[in-house]
Amino acid sequence: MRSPRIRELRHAVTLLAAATLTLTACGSGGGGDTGGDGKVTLTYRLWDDQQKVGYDKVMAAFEKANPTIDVKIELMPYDAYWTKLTADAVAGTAPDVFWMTPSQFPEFVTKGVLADISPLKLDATKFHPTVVGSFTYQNKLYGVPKDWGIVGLLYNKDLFKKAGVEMPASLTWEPDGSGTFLETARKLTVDQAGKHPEDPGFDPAKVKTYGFASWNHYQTQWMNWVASNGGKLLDQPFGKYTFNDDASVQALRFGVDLVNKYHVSPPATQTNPPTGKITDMFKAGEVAMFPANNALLPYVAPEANFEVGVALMPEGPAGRAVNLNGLSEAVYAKSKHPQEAMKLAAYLGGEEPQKLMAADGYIFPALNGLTQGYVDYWQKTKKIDVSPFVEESKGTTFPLPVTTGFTGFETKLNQIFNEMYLGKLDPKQAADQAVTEGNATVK
Amino acid sequence: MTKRILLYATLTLGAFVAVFPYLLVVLTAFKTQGQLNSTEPWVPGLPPTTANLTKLLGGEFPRYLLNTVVMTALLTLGQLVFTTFAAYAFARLRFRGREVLFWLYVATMMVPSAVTMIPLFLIMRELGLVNTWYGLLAPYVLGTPYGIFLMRQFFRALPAGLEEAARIDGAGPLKILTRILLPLCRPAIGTLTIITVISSWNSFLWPLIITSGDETKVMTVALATLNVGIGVDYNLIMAGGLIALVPMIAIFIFFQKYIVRSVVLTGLK
Amino acid sequence: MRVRRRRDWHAYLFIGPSLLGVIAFLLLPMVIVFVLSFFHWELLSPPSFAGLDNYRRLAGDGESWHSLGITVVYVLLCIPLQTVLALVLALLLNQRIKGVKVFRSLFVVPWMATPIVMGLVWNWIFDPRDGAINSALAVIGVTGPDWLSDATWALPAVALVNVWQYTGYNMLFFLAGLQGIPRELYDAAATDGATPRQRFWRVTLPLLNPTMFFVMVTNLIGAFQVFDTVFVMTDGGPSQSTEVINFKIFGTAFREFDFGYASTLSMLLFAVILAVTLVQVRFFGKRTTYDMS
Repeated sequence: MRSPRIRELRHAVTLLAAATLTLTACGSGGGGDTGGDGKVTLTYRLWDDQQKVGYDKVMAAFEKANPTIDVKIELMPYDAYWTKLTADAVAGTAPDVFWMTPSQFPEFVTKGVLADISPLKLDATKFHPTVVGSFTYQNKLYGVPKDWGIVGLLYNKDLFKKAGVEMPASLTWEPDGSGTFLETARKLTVDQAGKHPEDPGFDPAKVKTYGFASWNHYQTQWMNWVASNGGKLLDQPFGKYTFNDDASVQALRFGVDLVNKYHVSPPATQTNPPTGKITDMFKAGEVAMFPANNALLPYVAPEANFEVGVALMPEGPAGRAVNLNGLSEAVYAKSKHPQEAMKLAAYLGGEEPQKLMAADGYIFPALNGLTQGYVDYWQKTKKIDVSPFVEESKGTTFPLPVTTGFTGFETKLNQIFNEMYLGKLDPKQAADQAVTEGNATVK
Repeated sequence: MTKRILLYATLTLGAFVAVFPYLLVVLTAFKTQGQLNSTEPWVPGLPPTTANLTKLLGGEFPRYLLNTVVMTALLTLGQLVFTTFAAYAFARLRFRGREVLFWLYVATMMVPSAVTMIPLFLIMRELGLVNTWYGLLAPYVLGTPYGIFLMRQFFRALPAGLEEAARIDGAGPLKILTRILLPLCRPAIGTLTIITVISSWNSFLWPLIITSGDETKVMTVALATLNVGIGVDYNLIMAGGLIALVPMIAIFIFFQKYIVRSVVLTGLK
Repeated sequence: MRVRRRRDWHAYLFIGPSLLGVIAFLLLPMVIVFVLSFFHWELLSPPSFAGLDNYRRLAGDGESWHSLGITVVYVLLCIPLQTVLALVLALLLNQRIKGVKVFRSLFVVPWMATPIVMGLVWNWIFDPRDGAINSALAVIGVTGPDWLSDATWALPAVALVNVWQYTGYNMLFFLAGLQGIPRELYDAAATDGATPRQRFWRVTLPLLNPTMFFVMVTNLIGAFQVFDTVFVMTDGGPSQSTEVINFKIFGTAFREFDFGYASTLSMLLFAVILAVTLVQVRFFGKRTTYDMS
């Protein structure tokens, strides 16, 4: 009984030794950046599984044009992307070129992680100005504008048809509740007895379909209300938060009222981040109008059980102002191959790759004049007219509030506004509290 | 008889609670996106689809599964050997500094790994192990304080004096360990194997930090990339969760017989 | 004396490989974190010596003490329930009954399942309107709470998920421990006319002492460092009601980029866990049965 066990143990030790040897053999291959043939290997990091497919093609074209450079694409999960990038930046092992968002940009640029790309002599006027602005620090551009996503109003055409409602040519909202937007949302909100919010006997606890999705999401929700009411998020780039002025508070109150007063929107208990499932509710046909970034389309449209439409965001007292959020291709300031990395970044900002990413329906390119490819893709393959996104991008757009400390502040901001959407905190108090907390984090 | 019925009723209820969340994973894995949107999570989508599974298995996922298998196998082998050795010394041999060293081992578990991760990453960079299989395995393959603690407790529970006779016969510590103690420790070794296999299989943070290429990408990291922040492909991610669990259940069933030596009396009869 | 030396040598050889790993990959990083707790370090810029600044800041940092308090509540919600359930399960499944293997496998599924997927599923289950829990409660006429958006219920919900995840896992240790109890002891007890209840308290429980010690010490270490569940389910909210200390530490390090202070908070957590562990060592040390020391 005993000796076989020892034999097993010996086997185990032998196996382990063998494995160690094998590892020694493969380990040496992965380390070097420069191969024997004088080739340089660049690493390029992103987090989007779907876009990676497009970038495989882009990089193949780049390698063909630059036979001495190899590009290795690294795909990271979004949540962990920043933890990993931070660890890499500390250790000096960050990728040569990588994706950057406006909200993370201030931390990384002020600490010298990102390279100034002015040596590329890029003509910034050829890119969408809001994206350029999002990645400018002390009048210099740190990153090649890659793409932009914009908030538009997705809507469920089947629910509109069923309710016998036409989508108005233009939706308008006013802080006092007048305007075509709230009116439309009310017509689309139905409880289980078939009653609308303004009908007597309407039961807000038993709503079958909601006309609109108002929830605590800064990018697609309250920041847009604030901007279209003439409120101001930030006094200047890298400045202080100001969204507790009267116009902002009025706008915030309107967003909350849609839930708790007008009952055209699901309760915050179901929508508050991080677990809110408003996207799922829209997909399930429980919500008629849903403001979303166009980047969400691939997750909503392909197998929707209804026809998806896209409309312009509602116009407020100060007109229409929507969030436009761009990404950039950042170059690592301490890259071992700065010239090649710059070359790659410059290439990614060029027409060929940006056109490809648009034509395959991944993104709106940051480079001007290429939106048609994206529009055609969605028209041809999914029968969705996404041109309202394009129209919005030509009007007033605003970036996310770009200032230091936002990454730390974000959690707290969401928590405070969660309470506001639950109706437990008055919008004025919530805004004051958030602005105070936020400004304490600005360095 | 009523006692027996009550027992089974309790066990069934408990098992239902234990498995129910996972049942949702399985059901979602076999739904289309349309079915996911139109059915409650606990209602199966009809007809079931295998599209999610085939899509996942048709891509790069099998490669990452293979990486995970290699990592798990090496970590388990290393841990079984080195953990057992160390635990034996801490439990049954007397040497200077034994208690201090042991509690030092345990103390290393008391600082959050999110924080120690940065210094550890810097150490790995100094050793040139970033983005290598070595770096991935090194912190765990030589035995972990957790496993050593577990095995030490089992070794200590064995009656004192077991070694005496063998020692008189001139057997060395290695012989005593392999001939006398290990055969008595089958349940403990079975437990250690299971927990090592499964925790290696599910490990996420360290593989993610130390490596970034496809050559070393493991299943958990690949699954997490299906959540891109703005949206999640639930069907696909749940299909991945299903694929990841099946081999673990098989492993558990296989090693279960080692956990339980034979049926013994318990206090509840 | 000479014999002792020789055995020392053997022992060091046995622990050698693990010692190497522990020193290089665990102890050294820990010491570095300790040193960093006396520095200002914004991660991406060079560290600067801060003396006791971080510790002084900690003394007046109400939020961090609040986080520590929440963590203690969480531990109290989790550990007793989880340990008792695991022990009961192990006793039930250590019998000669049909289907015992199937039940054992089912109970460990929660721990085997990939955490990434489970967070998503639990969010569905806790949905206040059409989640499984509140739907089930509605059947018996009870209106369930809003769970994750209710400051009273969010922490218990997080604790519940962890109890769910680790009960079957801890059962494994108890099962293995029960297997180690010599049968003769039960026979002897039975001959002495001990009732099943007496057998449990006088034989089973004392002899499970080494297992219990391991389970308690490691579970407490783990529970004080709870993070994943909070990260995927509540992000510390609502109103910071689930902002456990490890979540605070993570946020300080990687969202606020204040690594020096995160290290100081880690040292606080370390001190607390160490104290709790030492109490257990004393408690279980008094009750050791026939182990060697």
